[in-house]
Amino acid sequence: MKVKIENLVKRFSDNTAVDNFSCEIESGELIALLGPSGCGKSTMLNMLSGILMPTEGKIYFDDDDVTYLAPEKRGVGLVFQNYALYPHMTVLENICFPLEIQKVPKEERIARAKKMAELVHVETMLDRRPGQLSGGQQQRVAIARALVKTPRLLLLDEPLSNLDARLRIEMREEIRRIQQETGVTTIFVTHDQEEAMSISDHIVLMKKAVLQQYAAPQELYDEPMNSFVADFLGNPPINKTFGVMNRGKIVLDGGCEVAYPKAVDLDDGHRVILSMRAEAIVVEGPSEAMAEGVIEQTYVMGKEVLAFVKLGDFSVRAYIPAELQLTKGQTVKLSLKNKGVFVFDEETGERLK
Amino acid sequence: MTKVAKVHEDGPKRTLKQMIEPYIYLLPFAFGIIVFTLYPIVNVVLMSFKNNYDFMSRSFSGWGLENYIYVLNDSYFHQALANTFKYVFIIIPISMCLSILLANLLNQKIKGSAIFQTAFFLPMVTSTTAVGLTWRFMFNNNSGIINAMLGLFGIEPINWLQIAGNNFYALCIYGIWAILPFTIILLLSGLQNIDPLYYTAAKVDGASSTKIFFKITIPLLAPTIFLVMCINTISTFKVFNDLFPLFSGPGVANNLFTAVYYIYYQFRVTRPPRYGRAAAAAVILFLIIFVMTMIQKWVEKKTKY
Amino acid sequence: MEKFKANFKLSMVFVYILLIFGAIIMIFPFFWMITGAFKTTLEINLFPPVWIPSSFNLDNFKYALQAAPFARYFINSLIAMVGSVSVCTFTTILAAFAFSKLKFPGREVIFTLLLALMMVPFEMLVITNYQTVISWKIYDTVWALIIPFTSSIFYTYILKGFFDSVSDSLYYSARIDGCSNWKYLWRVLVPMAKPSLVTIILLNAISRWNSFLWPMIATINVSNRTLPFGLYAFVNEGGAKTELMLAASTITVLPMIILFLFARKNIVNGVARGGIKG
Repeated sequence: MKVKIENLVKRFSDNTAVDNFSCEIESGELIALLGPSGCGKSTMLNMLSGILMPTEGKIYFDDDDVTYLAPEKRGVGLVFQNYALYPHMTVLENICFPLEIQKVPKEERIARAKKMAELVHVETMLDRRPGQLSGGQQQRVAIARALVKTPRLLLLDEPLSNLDARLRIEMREEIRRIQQETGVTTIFVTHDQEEAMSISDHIVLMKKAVLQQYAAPQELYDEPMNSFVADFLGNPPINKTFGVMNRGKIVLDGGCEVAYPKAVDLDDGHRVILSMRAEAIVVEGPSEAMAEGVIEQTYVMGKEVLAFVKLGDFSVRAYIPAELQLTKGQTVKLSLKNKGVFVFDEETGERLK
Repeated sequence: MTKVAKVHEDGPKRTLKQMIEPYIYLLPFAFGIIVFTLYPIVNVVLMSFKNNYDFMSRSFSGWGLENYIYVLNDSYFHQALANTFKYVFIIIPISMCLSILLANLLNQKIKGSAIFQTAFFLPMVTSTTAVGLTWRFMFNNNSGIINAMLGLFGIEPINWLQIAGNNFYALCIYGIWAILPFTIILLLSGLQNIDPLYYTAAKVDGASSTKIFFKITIPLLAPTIFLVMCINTISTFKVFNDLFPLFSGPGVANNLFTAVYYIYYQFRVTRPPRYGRAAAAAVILFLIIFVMTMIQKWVEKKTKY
Repeated sequence: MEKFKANFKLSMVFVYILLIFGAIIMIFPFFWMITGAFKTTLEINLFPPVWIPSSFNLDNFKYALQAAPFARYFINSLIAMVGSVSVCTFTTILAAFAFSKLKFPGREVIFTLLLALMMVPFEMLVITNYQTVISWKIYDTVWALIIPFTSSIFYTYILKGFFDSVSDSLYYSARIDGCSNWKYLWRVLVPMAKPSLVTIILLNAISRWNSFLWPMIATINVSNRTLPFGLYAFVNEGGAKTELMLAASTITVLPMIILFLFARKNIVNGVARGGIKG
């Protein structure tokens, strides 16, 4: 099912949680709603599920306007962060519960629940109660319960944040597998960029109630539309430096000059942000040098060395080949690749071509 | 969870059914509370200002303070208050000390704690009347077990029940026995909430068990002790039920009038019943309890760690 | 180390001695009541007292049941208890749910006011309630023992506390599946609240069974009395024989003793949580 959101606004008495939000989600995709805490992504999810009603705007499921439709009439499945399993019911009873409410005959609902349990791999623990299950198993049961009524849309609120690190990786792949097997359009909320990057088809990145960029993970990483997007994605975090244009060169605060060819057309005196991914910085490479810096610190990490290089007031991360044998205090020449280096307007944060 | 809680406030637009629904759930509950709690409170306050209120005809001669003036000048009422305060001042300190000791003993790693708990807590669930009547038999002048035990120590039999003064002590002994279970339970649960790490730390530091008791247990238990003391003060202030099984009423020549008994006396014993006076006494009793509760809340706030 | 161990053992002996002594004092009246119920008139009046009755026959119970309608009192107590506790549990569940999970204007204010009402002593309400049952013409009937006790702020407060602790996500989860409030309450919340409900029912049952003041005020006819008041009247009006009084007392306390033996933990925890309401 396709989801279309038009100019959606949600205002609470004291703040605006979602502001003029529009996007279209293709049928059968796995979408990550990504952003720092308090950015409005949970509010967004609650408006899709119908727990919350928007202040303005429209939500369409395919061609149906569901903006003000009651939650139970939308045909959505929702998995909460704490799973919200009924502790006094067995796994089977939990999965059956939505069907019981829809008055599906007993035999049919047990058959459907069992099939769902097999899909999420909990078929061997149908008689247990949630308290006897691990976090990952509870998560599987919660997903099965949400899917058993064959919803048009599956919503997951921070599905992995209550799990420990190893389980988290396992479960995110499981979510991907279950989503692909069922083909249900799925939206999950997360604040973890790695989680979003690894499994989703598209990412909706939000900040302070506003949609920042809606794109495929790789595109988001390669072509961030603004400084926030660039900062939010990537590990290690992107190197962010500030400077001013002077005769085609960027003069970083603290005095270091960077001759970055793509910035050559900008007006003198224009303040910019120069953001560079660590892997886009080449130290002592064959191509022409664009800046010079002093090595502050090095960490050997197997075949590569992570170095902190001082550029003006800023300390930037770069990977250097171990065989170069660079040490602390040495001055090095740097050049920048085309990919992974971005110039933003300091005031607006917008990308400058 | 705060996120979801916040969501609640702006939930789906309410239909008429949804707006009425909460009140339907509250209706059966509200019926009982309004008729048997709220209305009586209003009524008793109003009644206390009605002069010469007649219950049957619901008529009265006018509004005024006559009932209060009567009650406040009534020597029975003075005696009732004096007895009640005296009772509270004897019961509370003794029962608290005994309970703190016993709760600490029960909190040790002991075998058979189920048996001890059963023994210590049983009086809490059993009828005051039945147990009180048994105590009356135990206090009996001629064949009572208490005088028999005292006799073993060479003490002459005491007429516990039929001599004014003695009967007050009998009431106190019974009162302490009856309040111990409740007090011990609350203190014990307070003790169980103290992190055992404090004790381990103190033992490592070489503190003696007496020192641990006075320097760690008591200060950490202080909020509970105070809370229990307040609850008990209020409940012992309402001493009334015990008078019936022990003495069939307020003692010898009414020497054991208590505050609540005075209310009962005004509307059930006196002929004709004096509802206005009973109401005035009830309001005064409530004011005293109100002040006690306020002190309790105030200190509770002050002592929160 | 050796010395420490010895000291430790000595202090534990001391603990046990004190505890056993205390336990004997607390339990003694029950021992005396029950053994007394088997003694003959002669044994009861002997001084120094007889510790163990010469025979354990049920004659005293038989005579007591003949001397006053204790069977009737027992049934009255039972009806009053079951009636008021079951209705009260029902109203408590509904009200606790409304206060915990449903939204309506003034919810917090109303609940705070209710908590303040808990401060008012029952003794103050008695006068008006007496008038009410008379004007409703249920004075001296079993209804007078049931209807005034069909709602309780105290138990609603305890149950609301439990309902509050249940995550709202369960509620929304059920709502998205199309579950009504009514169904959510009975299918999800109530089964989850079983331990709290058991506690509430036990505490309520105990206080109803033992209540003395209200039955004394609200009933007058012998056939409408409950056990505690009937027992008191039996002694007070008839100048009954001590051993029969003890037999009747035993009948009165026995159900609660049995209840306590089976549900001790639950009752003790309940009392520790909120105190008992008389």
